[in-house]
Amino acid sequence: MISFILRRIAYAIPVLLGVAFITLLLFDVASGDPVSIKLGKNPDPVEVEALRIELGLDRPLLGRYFDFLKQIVTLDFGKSWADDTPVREIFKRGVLPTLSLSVPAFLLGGGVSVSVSLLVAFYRGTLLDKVTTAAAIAGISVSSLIYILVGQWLLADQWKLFPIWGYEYGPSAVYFLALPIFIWVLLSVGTDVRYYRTVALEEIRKDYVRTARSKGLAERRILFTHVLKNCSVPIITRLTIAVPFLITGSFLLEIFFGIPGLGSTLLTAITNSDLPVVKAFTILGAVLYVIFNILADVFYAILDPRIRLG
Amino acid sequence: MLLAPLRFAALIALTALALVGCSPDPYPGEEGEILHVGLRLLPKSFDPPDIGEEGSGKVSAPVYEGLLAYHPYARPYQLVPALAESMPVVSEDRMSWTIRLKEGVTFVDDPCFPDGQGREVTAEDVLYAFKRFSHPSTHAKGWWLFDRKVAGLNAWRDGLKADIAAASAAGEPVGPLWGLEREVAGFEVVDRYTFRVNLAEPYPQFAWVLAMSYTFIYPHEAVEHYGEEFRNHPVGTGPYRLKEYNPVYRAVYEPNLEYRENRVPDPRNNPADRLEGWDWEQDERDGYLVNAGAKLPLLDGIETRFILEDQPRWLYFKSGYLDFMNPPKDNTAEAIPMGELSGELKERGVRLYPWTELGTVYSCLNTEDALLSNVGVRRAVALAFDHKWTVDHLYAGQAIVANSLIPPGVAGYADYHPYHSDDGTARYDEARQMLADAGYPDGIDPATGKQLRLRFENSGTSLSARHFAARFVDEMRRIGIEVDVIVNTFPQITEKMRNGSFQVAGLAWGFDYPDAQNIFQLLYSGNADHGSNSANFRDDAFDALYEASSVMEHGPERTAIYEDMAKIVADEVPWITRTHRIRQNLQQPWLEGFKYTETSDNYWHYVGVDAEARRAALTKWNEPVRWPLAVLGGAFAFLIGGTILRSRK
Amino acid sequence: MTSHAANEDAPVTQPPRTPASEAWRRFKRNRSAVVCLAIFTAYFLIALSGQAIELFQGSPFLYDLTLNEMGLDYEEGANAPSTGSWLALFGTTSAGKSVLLRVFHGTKVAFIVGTFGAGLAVIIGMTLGLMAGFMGRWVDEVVQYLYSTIASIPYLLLMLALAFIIRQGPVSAWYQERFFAEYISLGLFNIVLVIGLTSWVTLCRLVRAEVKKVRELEYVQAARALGFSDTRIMFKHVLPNVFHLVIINFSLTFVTAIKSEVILTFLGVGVDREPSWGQMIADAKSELMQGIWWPLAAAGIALFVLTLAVNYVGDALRDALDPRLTE
Repeated sequence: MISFILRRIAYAIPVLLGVAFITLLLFDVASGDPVSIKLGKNPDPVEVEALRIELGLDRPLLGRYFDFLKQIVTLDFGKSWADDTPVREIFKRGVLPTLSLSVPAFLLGGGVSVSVSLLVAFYRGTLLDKVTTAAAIAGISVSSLIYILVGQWLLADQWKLFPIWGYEYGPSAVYFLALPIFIWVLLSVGTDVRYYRTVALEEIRKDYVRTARSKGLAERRILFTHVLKNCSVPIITRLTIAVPFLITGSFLLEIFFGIPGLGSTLLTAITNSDLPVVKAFTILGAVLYVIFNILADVFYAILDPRIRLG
Repeated sequence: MLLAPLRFAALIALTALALVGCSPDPYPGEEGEILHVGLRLLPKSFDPPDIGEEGSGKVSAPVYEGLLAYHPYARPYQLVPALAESMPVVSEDRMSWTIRLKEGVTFVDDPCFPDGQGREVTAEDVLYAFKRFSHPSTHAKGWWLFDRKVAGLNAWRDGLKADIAAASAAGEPVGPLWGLEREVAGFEVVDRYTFRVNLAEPYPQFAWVLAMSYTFIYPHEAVEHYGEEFRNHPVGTGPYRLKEYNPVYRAVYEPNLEYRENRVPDPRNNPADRLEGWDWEQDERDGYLVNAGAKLPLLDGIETRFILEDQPRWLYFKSGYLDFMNPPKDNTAEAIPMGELSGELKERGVRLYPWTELGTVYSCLNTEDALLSNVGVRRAVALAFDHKWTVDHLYAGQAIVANSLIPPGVAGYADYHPYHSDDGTARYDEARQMLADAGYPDGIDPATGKQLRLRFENSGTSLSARHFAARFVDEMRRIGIEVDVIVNTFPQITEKMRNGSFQVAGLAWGFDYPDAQNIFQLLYSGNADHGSNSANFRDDAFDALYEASSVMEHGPERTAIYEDMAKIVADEVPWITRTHRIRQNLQQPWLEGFKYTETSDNYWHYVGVDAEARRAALTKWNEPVRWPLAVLGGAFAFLIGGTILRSRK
Repeated sequence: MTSHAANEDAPVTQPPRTPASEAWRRFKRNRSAVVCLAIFTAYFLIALSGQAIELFQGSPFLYDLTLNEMGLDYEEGANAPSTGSWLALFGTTSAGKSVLLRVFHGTKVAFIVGTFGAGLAVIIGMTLGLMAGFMGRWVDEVVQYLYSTIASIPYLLLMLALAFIIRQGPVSAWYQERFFAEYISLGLFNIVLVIGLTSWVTLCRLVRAEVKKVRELEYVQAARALGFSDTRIMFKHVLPNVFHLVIINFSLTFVTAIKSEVILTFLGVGVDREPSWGQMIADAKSELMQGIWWPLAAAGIALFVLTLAVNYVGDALRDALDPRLTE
């Protein structure tokens, strides 16, 4: 096991180096002009040059690449170009709001998806199954933008059930998070239910289920003990892989509902060509993704002893 | 035994319960008379030399004061003393401005002071603020306002730059304000309460500068104590103090109990308040002076939220959660169809205040571009623009066609526009002829045999930006030019303009102060070449007039020169001036004494809120509608229950 | 949508059953899927005819003209749906143009994005997957490295950065010179490239895994022993065995591509010169509050029905093609 993990980490390092390089390449070329952000309406051309040098925009690519690597290792990504706040500060500030939205949404969504999938797997073929599956497919065929636009307009503005926008640190956050969480769950339930349902149905078709049934075991018992246990592997794998995205947050929801989290911070940074922030996000996102992929593999191996770790 | 479905049903029930308890109020648990503001941009800094854009300007306004300020109600705009005791005294030769400060004004209490108590404001503080603003390491965004205008200041600044570079090269420690104590002839402390500015050349616009946020007064203790954090932690003399600040979410203010004696103008009872040129009787009739004579601050607090997206901000206002708003471009047609308040808003008592902006929307043509250096081509493009369409469709009638780059009401406005019609409609035949005369019959480039192509840089992705781009494409097509629209973010378009790598760009300019010099500087050749003159316009006649007028006092002579300059711009077409937008300010019925001012934000000091009226209105306007959820929940429970029962049989 | 296959009573005079025709028969049995396939075909025909009309007519295109310019008599600006003329069936946009025509044009955009975007992604994924799975050794290492790296970068960031680059860079200058630039705008080309370059990873992984299994099949081994070239074996012997994955993935990516167009256009880096569903939905952001709901409804429904149809067909394809799911 240990050697497996070590090997995976060793493999991850060149991947992350590659990501760092691509990040630098991509965002350097794509970015606009940070100088105007910093120097205002009528900047003096000499000042502009000086600032370019200060921000390191005149150094060769390879030099900037090594600087970037150093930043990653020390976790110090410098200061935002928009307002000089240290990037670390920006992250700290945004983490709590994002997690307060994504974690409950994830748990609730996961709970609902798994329950609903088991439910329709149990009652497969009935009207409930058909309606739910149809609803799931219909649900994922609607663009997320429409959910947000209509949801905000209908539930918050027309029916006045929720605040339209905003956030509060502390227990009152519940008022503001209810609608975005609801929409997030709606968005994810469709895909998840289809996936888990397929997984469950595949399990049910296996031989051992037929054997158990012919032995006289109750259907419920089969479903909730044996099948569930065997389904747990893909379910947990899928859930684990979803975790890095909890931290990057749903930028659309955050922007429309005014949750001052990492998602909206990232989008603002992109629009303002705030390179330090964007680069930091990209590389951290990649690191998290890699870590959780390794974790998922580990869980997979633990839960399914048949898998060789070779 | 069916645990999972039951657990699931319980989950649904709990969620529903939680939802039912929710309410739409985004300010839970709030008390007192609070002003609610929504900003459409994130603020960058509370540090005065950096307050160069709307976001920072609006968050700083409640907590700071400058030497002068805009009168909150007079139109045309007028300046009145704020921290100064009276208007500055300008010397005979106009080269020196002497300002006397009010006595006994103190900064707000703050931990940066040795005993936590704010101390008295003196001329030394003005010296510090001005010097810090001019110091090279501050990179003040507004430096161009002092550049080459103050005696000895440029030498002081350049000297510091050189010495700092030398010191760092030698390895010496160089702090942020290294060398600040050096004397500069232009800034003089005459006595404890008197400050004098000695100019390098007459500067008639200087009074406006003293009312801008760049010259807010603050104590050196705050800068020393907070260092980098000073930009999040203001210490000023304004009627409010900053209580809480999250740079990506909101700023909350509470009253400054140490605020100096300052009252809402009361011209009816106090003749000293009757400013020359202010129609106070009209303002009284309009209800602005409802709190006349009351001591500032009037509110228990202010909460400013940064709502970047238009939809939620607009919905907030409609539901009454914002006290005033300039409706977003895309919602103007809904709120103000045909220039009148919509029935819905009128019924609620919302008030509408339109005004023609102090600004100009224009398309900037790069006169150094191969194609556009040909003035005939520029004139042809100008003739093919349909400004009337823009007014009718993009602004729902809420704009006037710009007959000059100067808005009406500002000295220098002249109704001279040879290359666009009186009503703004395009003249395609003339345009085609002009293009042919310029060497491109039917828009075909004789060198390549193909249609001419122009690149149009659009900034922003709003509905109206896209509509305009689409329309521009149509218009140019009619005279034979193909247009490629490039969408840019604001930093991208700024970079292109600075590098001159653009052909046509859609822009707007908002005046920093009501003087035409502010817009003419964008066409002065001294500012070309990576400067603010992005069109790279170089015209000797224009330059000569600019240099002459920049030292003249406001008066008929200068106005005549301004008019000539405007005519040159209209003839040479480095810009196609399009419209002056008519802005609307919408106010909730419970807002008091609020007259929107474009170039300054200190009018917030004079605002009051009728909290009772607000509470009553909100309860009425925002009744939750709960029945649809109940119906949905019921249907779902029915479906599950039915299936469970049926399968049991 | 699952269908249970039980076909022991086949007549004696049936034509030989290839895996493809088997799959097709299974598919046909699923009635809803067949209906969806018909719907998909209808959309395709609309897109095709729209493009044909444009080629024939030249600019300015009908969808860009206001109803008034076309000779009809309507109020300027947005009009609610009315039965006056078939053009106004879904009303007009805030600029006075026919929503119906714009939705039709959006169909063409969606198909180009879907077909070419997903097509590009599928071609890249399939080829790299084949190469990695079959040739092994360093080729496999390189391909795995490539997709691990790309998969680690947050998808949205990658798309946005690529979109900005392609738009501003030399590629766009080259593209403008082509004759077809007038019919397929630069923005559209950008989206196709962006989606193609970012969505190939899943298929690559799947194909690679499957190819590794197929390599060990007897007849493949025989082909190698016979000395056939790698390329020939990959494409003639191995590919047919993994092609079902390619088809299923194509249908999924088609849907993702269309939905990505909506988000990319919303963020301002998508299609701009011509109408698309994404643009109409993005415009709805402000139109909805003005009470103008019909462009959103029209584009939203068009998008919804097509996505639904493709999802259903994709599900049915998976059931029909994936041998493991038949009982």
